[in-house]
Amino acid sequence: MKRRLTYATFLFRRTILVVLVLILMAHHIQNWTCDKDRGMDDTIQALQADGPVTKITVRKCFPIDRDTFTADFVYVTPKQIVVTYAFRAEQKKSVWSFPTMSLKLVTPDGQQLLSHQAGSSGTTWGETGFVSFNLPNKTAVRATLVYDLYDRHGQIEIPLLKAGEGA
Amino acid sequence: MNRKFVFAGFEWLAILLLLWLVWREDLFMPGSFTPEQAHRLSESGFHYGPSTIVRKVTVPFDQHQVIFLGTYNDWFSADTVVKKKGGWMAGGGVGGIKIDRDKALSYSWEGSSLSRSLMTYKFYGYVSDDRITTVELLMTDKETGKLAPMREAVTEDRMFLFLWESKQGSATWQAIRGLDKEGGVLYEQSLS
Repeated sequence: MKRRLTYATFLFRRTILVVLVLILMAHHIQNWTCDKDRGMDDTIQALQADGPVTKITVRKCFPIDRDTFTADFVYVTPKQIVVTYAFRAEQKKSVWSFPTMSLKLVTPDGQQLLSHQAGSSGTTWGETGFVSFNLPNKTAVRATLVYDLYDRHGQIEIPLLKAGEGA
Repeated sequence: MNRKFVFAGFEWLAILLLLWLVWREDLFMPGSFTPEQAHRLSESGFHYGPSTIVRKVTVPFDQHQVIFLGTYNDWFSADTVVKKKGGWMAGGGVGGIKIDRDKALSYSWEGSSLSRSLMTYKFYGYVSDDRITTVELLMTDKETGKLAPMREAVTEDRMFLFLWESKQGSATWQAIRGLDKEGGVLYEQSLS
């Protein structure tokens, strides 16, 4: 009788252990595949159609509450300016997707460039995405990327080299 | 025997550790335990607020939806949270709408459908003019052609909320009005 009871607890224990390990494995494999598939390479590849593409490293960030917005790269083509970003959210539950279209790009002479396209993909830690802007009327060597929504503000200086030249 | 006992102990410890890991990932509880908590998380996840909750309204025709009327600086909002299997989760309307002080009242609306046939409408706003004691939403039923107005008395919190369920496009919205004590129209904004 005692032996049977020992065996039963052993079986119970092992089952829980295996089930828990399986659940966690499935969860983490799912997370891993989710993070691996960024889906942004296609967008960047497609920029080649515009003509020569200049890629500039930005890697600057600003906080929005406890979260962090990082501008990674800027791609300047003869037709548009594309900024890629990463948004890291500390909060795990109820995180809304980043309002990418609310980002503004302002040149030093005050022209606010229109954004006409944006995209993002969610990751386990937040999201990555891009936003593209029209070229400025006058050649600009830098511009300011501005986040200004409700009472939260943030901005980053973006180097552009010679965006808008010949436009 | 003793060794077996120690081994079993380690396995139980491992189980505890794994349980903690599962709990930490919120695998089975993606939502919140209370509507208030879901509302707060929805706002902080949107980088808005925390707003001052002026009223908590349980949707009369759907107990699984709770709306928080609130103000934050110069904005007003009506944030919906929805109860699902995994707890209370963010619905819609988390972001604030600017209060236009030049107008007697500011409003916004939102329609959402949880089932296929019916739309849930939420028409809400903030009254700036304190002479307004009643807010009226004028609508006409398209089938019967009858006037179906909705009224709400304005209380201290200055916010109003109209909730109704209908088939999409079954009613024509005519106007939102602000009425004074005597029932005179102080403000009227056409909606059609």
